[in-house]
Amino acid sequence: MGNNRKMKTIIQCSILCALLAASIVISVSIGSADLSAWDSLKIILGFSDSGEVYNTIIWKVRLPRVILSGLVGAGLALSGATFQSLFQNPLADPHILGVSSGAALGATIAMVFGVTSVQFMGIGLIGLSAFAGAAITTLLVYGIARTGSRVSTTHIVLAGTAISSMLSAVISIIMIFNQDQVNKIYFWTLGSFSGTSWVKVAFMGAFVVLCGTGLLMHSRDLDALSTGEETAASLGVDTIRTKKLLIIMVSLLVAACVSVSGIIGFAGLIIPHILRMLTGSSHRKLLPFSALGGAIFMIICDAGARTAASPAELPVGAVTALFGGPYFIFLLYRNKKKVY
Amino acid sequence: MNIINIRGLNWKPGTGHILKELSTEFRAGVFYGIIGPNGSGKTSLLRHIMRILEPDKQVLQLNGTDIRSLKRKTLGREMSWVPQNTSIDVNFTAFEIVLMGRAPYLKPFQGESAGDLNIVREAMELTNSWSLREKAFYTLSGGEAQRVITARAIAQDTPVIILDEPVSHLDIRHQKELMETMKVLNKDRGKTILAVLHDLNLAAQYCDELLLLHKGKIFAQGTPKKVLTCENLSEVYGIEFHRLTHPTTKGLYLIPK
Repeated sequence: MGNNRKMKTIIQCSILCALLAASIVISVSIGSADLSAWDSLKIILGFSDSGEVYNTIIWKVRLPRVILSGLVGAGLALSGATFQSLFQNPLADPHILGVSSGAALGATIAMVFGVTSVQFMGIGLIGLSAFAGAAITTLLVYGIARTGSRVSTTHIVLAGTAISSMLSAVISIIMIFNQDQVNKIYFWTLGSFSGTSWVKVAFMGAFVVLCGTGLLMHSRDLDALSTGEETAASLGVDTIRTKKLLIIMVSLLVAACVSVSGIIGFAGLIIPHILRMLTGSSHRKLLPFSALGGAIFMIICDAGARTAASPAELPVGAVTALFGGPYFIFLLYRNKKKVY
Repeated sequence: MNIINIRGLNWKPGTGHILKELSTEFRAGVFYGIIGPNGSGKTSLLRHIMRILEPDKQVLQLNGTDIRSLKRKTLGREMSWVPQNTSIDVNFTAFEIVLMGRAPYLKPFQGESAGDLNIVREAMELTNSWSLREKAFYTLSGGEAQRVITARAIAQDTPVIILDEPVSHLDIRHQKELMETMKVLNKDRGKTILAVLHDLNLAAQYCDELLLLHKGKIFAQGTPKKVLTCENLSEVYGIEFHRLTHPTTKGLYLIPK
């Protein structure tokens, strides 16, 4: 039995890895400059004969964007999977604690004060300001929900939702008084991967690797927590400390995602559900599989966002919902069982 | 030897006073039944012993050590828990649920050894749930789920097993099976069992010793014969009882008047 299980996991994992590789190569090859997938692959692997221009397009423009979208997809899916288990709530998504609204407010303030041209280590001030906004919001929500050293999951979700609505209201008001910036702010909140650099990729990559490893380290604790907090405690999980650590790690990860790409909804909600249906709820599978699935999904969605209405670019957040929604509903309908 | 010592346990959530200066002790290897009316503090007592609720310093000792100074993981190797509500919505197989019982013995990233898997298998066989191993837990019936959760507690292999109204949702056959399993664990493996029970006859039949709780205090503690007197019961439950001798087992048999 054990071997069968292991075999199945290895096959599923290989399929996801192959899909990820394919989605990277294909989405790198599509765009206004015509390139075949094969040529793109050769350029990526470094033995191309397509010339300097194509090299530049792939290495300077498309590849960082594709990789960044994959990393953000992975980060959001990891965050969603963790929050759903931690809060035992199938509707939990990465934005539930108001982190994203905090980031949006940070970005909005940066845009309104016109500091958009300033760069710090290759990351725009909008991104940094968004990151700061996200971090401050997390601390705020955590502080409100805390009683002594304990944090009730119900309180933190409610506090997050309340803070999130308040911050959105502040953003609306700022937009009313700065009508010239409305477009920019609005599109930022819809999410986009345009203007990607390798620095952003490195920044995001560091967060995905560090937080991803940290979450995976707690996969057994998450299994126990997803069956109930008291049960987890009886199974030897230090629930107070573990919850705190997980919330910190996920908040950092979401803050990083939002600061490089804006607010992209849906991926963090549905990808973990889809993978739970395929692999079950055991986190040592669910977390890495969600990361892979989220990466694939986001890469495909971003490819759609930049090509579907070319030369205009669609907001990637709209594509994730349009594209992912029907598929999720189909799965839900077919499975007709509890998916969470 | 006393495995658990409680001295002056108080619990006042909000305005109520659920546990009042409760003191008692539990000896290793004894099958304890905790009885009493609703709201008498049975579950609150268990939750403090499990340290799901935090007792004051030096009030609750496990093997002579203040429970507050013990790590969660250590507690997970000392006490296992069969909760009242066994429903789990998440998509785990029964096998995965029982495997969680090994968690207190494993480090992060450490896989389960063949030994762990054997313990899981044995626990599931003992509760007659091995055939359910591949099934999704949420599809199981109440009785099946209870067996799987019990197997998890057995797989945890702790000296103390704590059960919170384990049989209230079960039909009469499953009630008997669960109590028999606990008796086997108690007699053959020397486990200390603490079970909150509502059925006085079940408590009289299986437990070595009973704690009768009333208004947050221990009203009586001792053998079923000593505790289950008509005076005690009418005082605590507020109704009169017939106390009979069971025609075949010669044990106690109680029915309300």
